[in-house]
Amino acid sequence: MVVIEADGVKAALFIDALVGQHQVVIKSLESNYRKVQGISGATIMGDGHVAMILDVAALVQMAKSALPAAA
Amino acid sequence: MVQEQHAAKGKGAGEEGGYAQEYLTYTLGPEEYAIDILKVQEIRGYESPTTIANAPSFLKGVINLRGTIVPIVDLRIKFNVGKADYTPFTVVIILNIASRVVGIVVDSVSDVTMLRQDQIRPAPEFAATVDTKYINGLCTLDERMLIVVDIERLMLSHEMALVDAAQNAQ
Amino acid sequence: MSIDMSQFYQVFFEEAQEHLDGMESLLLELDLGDPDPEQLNAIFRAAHSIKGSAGTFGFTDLAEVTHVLENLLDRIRKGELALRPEMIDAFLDAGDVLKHLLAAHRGDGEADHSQVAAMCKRLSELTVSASASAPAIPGQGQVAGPAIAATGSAEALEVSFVLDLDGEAAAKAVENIVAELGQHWTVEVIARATAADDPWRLRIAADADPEIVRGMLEFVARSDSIRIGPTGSIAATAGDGDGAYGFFDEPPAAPKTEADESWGLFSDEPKAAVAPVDDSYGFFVDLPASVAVAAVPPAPSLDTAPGSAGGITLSAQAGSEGEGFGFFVDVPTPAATPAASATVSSEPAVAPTEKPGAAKRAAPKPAGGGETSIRVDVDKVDQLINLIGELVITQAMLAQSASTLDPVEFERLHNGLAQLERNTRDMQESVMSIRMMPISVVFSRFPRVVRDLAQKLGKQIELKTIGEGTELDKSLIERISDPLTHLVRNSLDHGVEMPADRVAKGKSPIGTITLKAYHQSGNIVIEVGDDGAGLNREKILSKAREKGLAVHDQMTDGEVWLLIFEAGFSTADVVTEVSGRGVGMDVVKRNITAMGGRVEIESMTGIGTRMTVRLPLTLAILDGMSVAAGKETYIIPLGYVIESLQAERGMIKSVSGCTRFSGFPTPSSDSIRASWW
Repeated sequence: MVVIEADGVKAALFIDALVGQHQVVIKSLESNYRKVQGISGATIMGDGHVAMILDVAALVQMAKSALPAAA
Repeated sequence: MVQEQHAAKGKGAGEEGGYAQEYLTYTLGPEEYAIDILKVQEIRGYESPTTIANAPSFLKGVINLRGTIVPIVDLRIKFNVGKADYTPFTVVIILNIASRVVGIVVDSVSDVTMLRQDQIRPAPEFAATVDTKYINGLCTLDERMLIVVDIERLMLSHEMALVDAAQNAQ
Repeated sequence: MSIDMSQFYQVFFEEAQEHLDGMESLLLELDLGDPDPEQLNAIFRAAHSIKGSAGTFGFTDLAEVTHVLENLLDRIRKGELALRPEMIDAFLDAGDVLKHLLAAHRGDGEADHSQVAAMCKRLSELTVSASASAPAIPGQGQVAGPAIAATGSAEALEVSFVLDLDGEAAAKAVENIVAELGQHWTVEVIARATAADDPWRLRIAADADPEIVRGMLEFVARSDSIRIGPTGSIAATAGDGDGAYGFFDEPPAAPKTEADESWGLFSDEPKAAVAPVDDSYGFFVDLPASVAVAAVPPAPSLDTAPGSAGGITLSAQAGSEGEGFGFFVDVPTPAATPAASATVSSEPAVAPTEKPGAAKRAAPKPAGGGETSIRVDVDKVDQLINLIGELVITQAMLAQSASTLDPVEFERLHNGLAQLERNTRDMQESVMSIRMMPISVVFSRFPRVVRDLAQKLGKQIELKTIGEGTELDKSLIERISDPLTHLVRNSLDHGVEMPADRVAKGKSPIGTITLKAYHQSGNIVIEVGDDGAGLNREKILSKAREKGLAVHDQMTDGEVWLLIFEAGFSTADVVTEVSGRGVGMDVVKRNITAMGGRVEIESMTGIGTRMTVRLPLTLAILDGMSVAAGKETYIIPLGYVIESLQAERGMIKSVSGCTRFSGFPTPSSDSIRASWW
């Protein structure tokens, strides 16, 4: 579980495992695809695979907007 | 650039009436399709892409093509034809459309043929699984029946959801 | 052909933009009471360059505005008009009009021609009103003339001599002399003999040794006829009838139409004046109302009245670098008959107004520079960065596969890989640095913003900038500009008090806004500070309650301050035009967060407020935590992560039946979920 904070709101993300911490080169998804909600971009990992970069602020917003419906 | 070449080519050969153009043909289920070869960047094997959240099922995800993030669309899922399984023989056609790079998964790639404009006849309404508005026409070649697809129009269409609505409007 | 032109357009646009920006910052630096002549010259040159190239490319509206602007500037530059605050305002506004026009020509937006006309009118009115109020209307030039002539005399030597030869031979001899002298100093011919006994006159740079000059001349000239003295002195002593050396006996030559950018009237041998190079500029000042069009064809396009009735003095040294400037002043004598032209010398006092020295100082600037940087398409740099990224990945892959090999057996391979790693890392760094730009690019717009706003609000503000050289990624520069402007405006509007209030509090009436940029642990920090009233905790809290935000009195100051970034939040008593509608600060926060940065506020009542923006050095690289969810890997930007911990059952409590909800379903796994903390 990773605790994050965006716009003064704290939230936790449930994940399966922590892999590591590194610098990544940000690549745009939009150049060949389009905007994806909750994703700010993509990067290429050391093994050549693509990994998505989470747009934490948008995720929190998404969760927030889902909240009133549930509450 | 691709389009410029295309235009230039069209002009050069246009005087004989139906000018010839090269098409790449591929199969999708029982049907054989042809697309303008100038839109094709390369053909490569299928590698498992990184999935994208909340994406339609035919969008398999994105791959790393020499540093570029390229979305992969499985046309078999999109058009509900063929079996969407991935074997070492599954091929991806990398298209370069309107300076965007997109990969499509098809059953198999057949060959490259020369088609003259007068060989392509307008398609009847019920022709194929693909909406006729994306079809330039039909073409019979020996025993084969080719569906000539306007791949650019298809890939940039709303249905594919490959481009942002805003960009689409431009 | 038209394609060729459009290539140049781009260059023109970029150059014009640079000139405008330069002009604006110079204008803002200008000290009203005691303007630095160098700065005035630089502003003038910027205006002139725009005018010149705008004319060449046929952007007449641009040329029109710059032309009027240039005229006014030139008179100020020459000390004929006193610089007044409203002129600076007008100049700045003119700059804005020009920017609009430029944008319109570029294809975004419509050119507003009424604006152009209005600006031209405003500028010409300034010129006229300034002339009218000048102390000595009839002899303005005369007032200015001698004073400058006097200073001029220290700067150059004038030589007059009579040759024994005449005609062709004389011309040849003089040419030789000039060439000879030209090896040591700047020399120009200012008057040629028309008959055998007429004197020739040369002007030589001031550092010339009169004795050496005399020695050289004695080879060819009648030794008793050689006179050497400071500029201006010869005319009097030589007694050749003119009374003012600046006027030439020769009939005026036609303007040099062959050079695209040189205008006007060279009454002397053109060769001696300005070399026919495209880049040579002639500077003209048309004084209103008094100048008649002389009997010469109008100069190419731009100058409305390029002719000159009175004297024409001085050209710069011929453009050895292709960039020579000639300064010309049309004397404000009431119009002479057109044909009279340059031979008229009714106003002896109106003599040299500029001197070669000035031209010499002016010339090197445009000629130099240029060599140290090149313009590169951003796409090319991005491509390079992409490729380097690939290289880094490939290198990492190689290193990984090699790590399984026996280090002893494959020692050389390992060494090679280690070196490859170092090289790629260095290379990545230097390529990244290409994208880096100094933050001064952003800071440079603030003097203007602050000035305009302070004026509007009736506040006195001094803007200090520290660390302008701090570099950050170009894409960040572009994106930080708006949020920063907002912060500065906010400080100015809400932070700094009115001068009277400040004095009442025992502070200086002039408020200070400090912009500071520096690097700190891989981040760039930009501070916007003011020495104003500070934030009002009570006011913010009560406002927050009004807005229905969750607040309580135990909140720390830091938390309270952050409330001002909430949407729709404004504690301003009066909604001003500037800020106070509460639109903006939340946008600022959002923009900065979107860049992976954060904002902090520190404030002390009565002492001031400081907003600190922290940004990653570059947008292209991100510090991330990679996490596995399902079969995919995701990156969480490290800036957002507070902690990571092992979730245990029971840690999550339900609140009114809503504990967990899927915030982020992925096709393969829904194991990434967001939950309220």
